[in-house]
Formats: sequence, C-alpha cells, structure tokens
Amino acid sequence: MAPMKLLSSDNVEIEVEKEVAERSVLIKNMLEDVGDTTVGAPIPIPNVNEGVLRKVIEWCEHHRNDPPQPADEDSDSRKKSTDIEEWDQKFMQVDQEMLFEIILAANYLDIKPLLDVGCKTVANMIKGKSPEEIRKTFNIQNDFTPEEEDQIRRENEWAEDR
Amino acid sequence: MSSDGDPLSDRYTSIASPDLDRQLVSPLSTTGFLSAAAASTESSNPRPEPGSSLKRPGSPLLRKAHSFRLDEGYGEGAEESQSFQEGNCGSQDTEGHDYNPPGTPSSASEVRVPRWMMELNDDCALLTRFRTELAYKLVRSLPTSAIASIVERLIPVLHLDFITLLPSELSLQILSYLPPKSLLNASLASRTWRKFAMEPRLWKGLYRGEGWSLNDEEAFEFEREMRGEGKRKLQQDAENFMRTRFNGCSNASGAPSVDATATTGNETHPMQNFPNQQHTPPAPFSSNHATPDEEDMYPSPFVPHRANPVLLAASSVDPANVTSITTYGLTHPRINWAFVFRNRRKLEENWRTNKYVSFQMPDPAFAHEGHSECIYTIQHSAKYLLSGSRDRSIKIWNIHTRRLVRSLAGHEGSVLCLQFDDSPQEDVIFSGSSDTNVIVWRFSTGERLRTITKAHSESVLNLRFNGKYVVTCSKDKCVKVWSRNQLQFGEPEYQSAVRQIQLGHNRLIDPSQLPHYIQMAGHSRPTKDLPPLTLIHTLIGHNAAVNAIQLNGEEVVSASGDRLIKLWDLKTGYCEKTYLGHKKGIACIQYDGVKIVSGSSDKTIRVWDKASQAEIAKLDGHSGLVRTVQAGGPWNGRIVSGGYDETIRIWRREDENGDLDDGMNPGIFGSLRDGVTWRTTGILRHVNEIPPGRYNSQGLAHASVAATIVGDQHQHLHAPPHPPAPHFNVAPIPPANVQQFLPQPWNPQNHNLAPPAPGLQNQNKVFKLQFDARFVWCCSQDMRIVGWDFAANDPDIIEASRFF
Repeated sequence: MAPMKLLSSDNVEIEVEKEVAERSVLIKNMLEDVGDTTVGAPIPIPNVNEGVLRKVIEWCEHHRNDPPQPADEDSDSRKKSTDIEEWDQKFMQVDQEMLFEIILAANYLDIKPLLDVGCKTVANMIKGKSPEEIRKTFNIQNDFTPEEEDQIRRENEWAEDR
Repeated sequence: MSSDGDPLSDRYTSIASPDLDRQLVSPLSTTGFLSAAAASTESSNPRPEPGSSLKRPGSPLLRKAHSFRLDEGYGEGAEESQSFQEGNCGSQDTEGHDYNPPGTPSSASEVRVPRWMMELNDDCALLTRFRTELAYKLVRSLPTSAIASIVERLIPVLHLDFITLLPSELSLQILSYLPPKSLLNASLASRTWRKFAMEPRLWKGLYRGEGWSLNDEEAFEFEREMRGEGKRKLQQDAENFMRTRFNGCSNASGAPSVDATATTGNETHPMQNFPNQQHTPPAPFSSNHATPDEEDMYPSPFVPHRANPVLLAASSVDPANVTSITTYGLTHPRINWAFVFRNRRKLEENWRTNKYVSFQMPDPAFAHEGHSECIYTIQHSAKYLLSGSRDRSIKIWNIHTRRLVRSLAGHEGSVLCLQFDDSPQEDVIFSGSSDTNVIVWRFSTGERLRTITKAHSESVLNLRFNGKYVVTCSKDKCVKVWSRNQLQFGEPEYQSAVRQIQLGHNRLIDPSQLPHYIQMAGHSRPTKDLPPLTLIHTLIGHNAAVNAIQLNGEEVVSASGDRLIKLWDLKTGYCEKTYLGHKKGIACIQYDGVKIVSGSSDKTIRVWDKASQAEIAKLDGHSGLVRTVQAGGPWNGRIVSGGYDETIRIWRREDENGDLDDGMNPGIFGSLRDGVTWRTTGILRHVNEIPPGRYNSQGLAHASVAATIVGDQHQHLHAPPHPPAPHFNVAPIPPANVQQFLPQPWNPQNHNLAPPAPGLQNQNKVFKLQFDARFVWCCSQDMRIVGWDFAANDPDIIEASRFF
C-alpha cells in the first residue's frame, strides 16, 4: 500500500497508508485534485494537532475495510439508534477534551462515520440523565430563574410517562 | 507547505473562528493563576461563581497533544491565538516543554514545569504513573483552598459544554440521537441548551421516527405563509379567526366554521386557525421578554445566522415551549414541531385508550338533509365526504360544517360503490350501482359527464380508479378494466381494447365496427382512436361474485365469494397470483403494493404477503362477516374493521411489551415475529341514536365517558337509547373496570358479544368505514353517517392535526 505523509498543525509528519487516509473525504478529494502525492510534500492538516491526528488515524486504520455507508434516506424515517460497536466504544473512552477534538477533526476531515460515533458518544452522555446530571457532566451553569425552571418542568411533564 | 492560502482551511476557521477563541481565552489568560487562586480562597465553593474568570471552559481548540499539562491554556493569549491561526512555522518550539522564552518568568502564571519532567513521555505507563504520583503528592502538599482552585481549573478539561462549544450543526446532530424525554431534560440544562433542544428540526425528526404521517405540503405552505409577505395576512386572519372562534364555533371538533366560504366555493384560507397561542397561557420568561405583542408572535424573518454559539448564549432566551404551534427556532419562525409531536402523541394515546367524541351527519338540526335509506358506501377527503345510499342518491357533505353540499341523482338502483377525487386536476366522481351502470360525475358541479350503461350484467359491487384505469367488479363474477384516457393505435391498451371488441365484451362497439380499429392493408394506421372509458380487459377467473377490488398502480387485487383473492397484472390482463386461506367468501380487501388485508364471512381478517402469498396474520374477534377493513396508521400498525356484528374494531400491532410494533423485523415470509400480535384496543358502535346537541355542548364530558368503553354503553349513561337496545351489550363489564379490560389481549371467550335478540337482528350492519390520523367515519344500515374524532375536543390536538 502506498504510504503518504500528513503534517499536523504542530508540524509533526505522520506516515499513513493512502487507503487509510482516504477514509477522510477531505484528504481523498485533495489527493484527487492534486494527483499522485505518494512522493513529495506531506499534506498539511492545519487544524488538527499530532495527538488528535494520530487518534483519528488509529480509527481509520481499524475501519479501513468498512463498506461504504448506506444512503441516509431511510434513517430519516427511523428512530435513531445510539448503538456504538464495541471497538468504537473503547476507542471513544477518552477525556472530554479529546472527544471534543475528535469530533471537530472528523467534521473537518469529513469522516462521517467517525463523526457519527463521536456525536453518539456525546448523546449517550446526555441520555437518561436528569437536567442536574447533565449540567454536572458538561459543566453548565444553570442560568434559569427558579420560576422559569418550574415552568419548563411543568411543560415537560407530558413526556414523563415514557 | 503552509496553511496560508489553502482554501480548505477556511472551512475550519469558520467553524472555530479566532474571534471565538479570543472570547473564550482572554478572561483566562489575563486573570492568571494567582488571582484565580485568590478568588477561590475567599470562597471555598468548588463550583465557579457566575461571572468568575473560570466560568468559561478553556478553549479545547488551543490544547496541544498532551492532556493535563499544568501550564497549558494559561499562557499569553496573543501567542496562543497566533499559533492557532498560523500554524507553527518553527520546529517544536511552541510545545510548552521546549519553549524557553527569553527572560525569567515574572509571575506565577508563567511558571513552567521543568523540562525533564515533561519529557517523561506519557506513552510509557510506568512514567505516567510516576508523574501522576508526583503531581498528586505536590497537590496534597497544598492548602485545601489551593487544591480546590486546581480542581476548578481542571473542570473545563474534564467537563466540556459540547452543545455550546461545537458548531451548531454538530450540536444538533448530537441532540438528534436523543429520545423525547432526554431532549426535554437537556432543554432544562441552560438557556443555550434549551434553544438547541427545542429546535424544530429535531422534533420533526422525532416525529418522523415514530412512523407518524406528516402533511408536508401543508407544513410547507404554513411556513411559507408565516414568513415575509404572509405576515400582514396572518394578522388579518388571526382577527377573523378570533371572531369565528368565539362567535359561531359550535361543532364538536372545534374546527373553525368554514361554511360561509366553503359553500360558495372559495378556498378556505390555510391560515384559518393559526394563532392559537392566544388560547394558551402567556409565554414563560416574560421577565426576559416584552409583552407578547405581534412582533413576538410573528417575528420578522431576520435573525442573524447562528455561527457563533457565544452570540446565541448572550441573546435573550426564546420562550420555545411545547404549548404553541409556532416557534422562533434557531434561524427563523417555524412550525413548533415539539408542539406537533406532543399533540400527535396525545392523539395516538387517545386511539389506544378509546378517547374520542362521536358525531353524525347530517347534523341532527338538519336531519332532512340525510339519506332516506341505508348507506352502502362512503369516502372522504380533507374537506368532503361522499355517501352512496340505497335511496339511489349520492350526497356530498362538507366535513367541517357537516352540512349537505349537494345531492346527485341519476342511478336507478342502490349506489353500492363510489370513488372521488376533488383535486382541481381530476374533479371527478365515479359511482357504481345495482342498476349495473357506472356514472361519471364532475365533482365541483354535480354534472353527469358519462354513463356506462350495463357496465356489468349484474350489480356493480365495487370500483376503483387511478390516472390510467377504472376497474369495476360485479356480482357477475367479472372484473372489468376501462381506460380513463383516449387510446391511440400503438398503445398496448389499444390492442387489448380491440381484443375486447373482437370477443364481444365491449357493448358499446359492435364487432362489425372492427375494421375501423384494425390496421388494414394499404393504410398506415387505423382510422379511429378509442374514446375514454373503453373496455380494456375483462378479468375472468372467479367462480362467485367479486365483492371488492383494490387498484395499485398497474395491479389489481380482487376478493370474491369463492373465498379467493386474486392479483391481476393490468398490462397483460393475466392473473398473477391467488391467495387461499379464508374459509368463507371474502367481502373486503385492501392492498398497498406489499401487503393485502382482507375481511371475510368467516369472521376473520387476514393479512397476506403479496410476494410470497403467505398468510402473515389472522385477526379473530368479529362475531359476524367482516364487511369493511382498512389498514394504516403509524408503521401500518393499525387496522380498523367493521362488520355485520354491528361493531367497528380498532386493532393495533403490538410487540411483547405492548408497544406499537414498527414492523421492521418481520419473521419468515414477512409474518409476524414471535411476540407480535394484533390486539383489539377498542370497539366502536354505530350508535342507534345520538340525542341532538349532546356531542356539542357536552363534548368533553362525553369524551371522558366514551373513554371508558364502547358506544352503546356510554349511551346508556347519557340517555336511554331508543329503541332499547340490549341486543349488543358487551358482556358484563362495568365501566369502572374498563381500564383493566382494555390492556388485556383480546380474548373472544371472555368478551363474547351477546347474540342479537330475535327481531332486532341485523339492525345496524356496518357497510363501509374510512379512517385517517384523527377520524373514523362509518356508514351502516342506519341512515346516518357516524364519525369518531380521537382529538376528543382537545384544542391543541385539533390545531396540530393540520400537519398530521
């Protein structure tokens, strides 16, 4: 497999197989535009630092042979699942900051399945939690007045039974 | 290669703009370590005080590869921003541990961890442990207040507000995975979170996820009207609506009175019942909001496009709630899909718990408008209902006013079947009768356009049409297919039609006329086109009356007294498949291209898989012939059926937990998987008599009684039925026990209907029903049409139902 190099925002060159790097639609399109870059300058990834980039590449390596995602049409009319496969779950066991940066990087590099996993991971951190627990998990200041909070709680009661 | 000039980098910068970073970083970088420590010495509260410098999480965008480096995020703001924007042109100098600025640190904020310590790479577990231990010991050596301050400073590292910090489309993606309850909890976290959690797109997604029908056209129109030039009109309509609502609205559904416009043929304005906010409690957060004047209710479309979450957080709170049908949304005024979702759920719950109000047509005050004999068939659209009766007439009713619009005379026998399309493009009614004729009418005028005399040799029992075909079936055992359009030589239907002439099936064109339609030597083409309503096929195969048909594209299914269902291909006229299983003749059928639902004289309803011909499900419960059936509802998980046992049954496809089964994981041949059953959730009766006015003035009280059990029982409670009708009492179940009764799986042993008393037998056979998201309509041996409205007089459900 053809090796190529990526240059992180903090100027670290990382060698990666072309096939792996092409899990990123951004890089794939770049390569198509530029032509064969197997020899020559590394591709700069100006907004992802070395640590995050290595982590993202780790994910791409593991998912290098994944079949392309089916078109999303159907998922629109389905209940969305937050199921995450086991390997990805382990992969996402990182501190919130790293998780945050993986999501941003996946978005920037246009790696949709990774972005989905990242977003699902955050969703699972919210799911089933009380407002207080959510505030704690995400370090959120409660900026409602007690009256407002009461009002919203009352409004939300309709969903209590399920 | 530098990032300068790289167009692709723009994408990232727009997401995390330097401006944003500066806002986030500057308080931290200027405050510094000492003052922060001092602040927390004063207050031992480990949670940051509002307004303190530590309130904002440190920007994760500025973080370098190694987490938990103590001096990070607290360096000079200018340096950090610069390095972020331009990338690092030097070697690894900007990494903290290699960075040796000229001069000595002049303040505590510039304290650096000794280089050797940072070089203990965290890839090595042992050294990480060493460093961890070292840091712990160091921390423990500090006074408690200092430790608290460190903990505070670490909170932003350990706990990030993703929803506020991420680009809005990613925040929405995260929230899109949440079920309603979690989303509502999230909406209580903070004002910013509330803005996101109540975003209409999320709730629209959840709405679709439930398998609920959605009127996209109406929604589109509503939002278009809500913006820009529609604004003035909205206000006007709001005033008009208030007038009609409080002056003349007395019908059971609470729908606005539209008779004035409707009967004169004017289109009812779609915004008719828009501004229902005026009936809801005042919007919350009035402290943050001016009084809810017109500007607030119909805000101008201008809202800055949200790119910067901080901006959003700073703006005043939108009182997005679930009590009004419109919301500001994140970008522009929108349909409040949270409101629509909530009310659709209430409506579905009403279906499950039998909460409804019933009413009849004609309105008792206008009883003279009704049919004079029993009604065999009905069909309704959004606005009109048509009925065909033994009195030989067809009546057109306005659903909203429940008043007669027009009565059509022309048939010389009972009107047994009809179908209409009131769209301006079609504007047509087809009707079939025991007089063997089929009549085509113009819907809007009632004008008789065509008559196919002797369409069959016996009663026309059912008919269906689409843009291409009209299909009729008859007691004469035949199904006939007619062309809706003129046929030209060369079209395949032309050849089929000529064949029908040759066979003598076409009564309108004598076989002697054939030379006009067959290509003769020396002529390039036949001289004549074939007119609309030319017979294309006569489908022969059934051995008894064909009672019902259903047309789907170029396929027809037919149900016959010979106990068989047949599937026909209209391109060829061949029978493609036959479905066996019913023990007696079949009376009614429905087909959606995948599944066939049939009701039979064997008292069962069966569901068939079209492709495999397998019987997927058998629904037992009726105690007489099943005369009419329709499947639909969320995930096609609802069947409503009616029959000669005088009842209408509502069935629900449920999984082992009693939840609606979405049909996503079928068993073999598409059969129900284990644990999934069709359960009767309710029984409606075409009540013998509804005392005038009861369902209007006491609608809600009625609804609560209706919720307890089936029609005739609540009738007993309200007024003595006339004549006394003990003949269809449900087995002795006092209303108080009904809540226990309803969730039970249907068991005919426990709930046998008492056999009809002699003499009163077959008073009220159900002939035809139709249901949609909100209503069931039904006709029977009675002269009235009865409807059940599952909105049960709830004004919010009624308002939201325009989008169902």
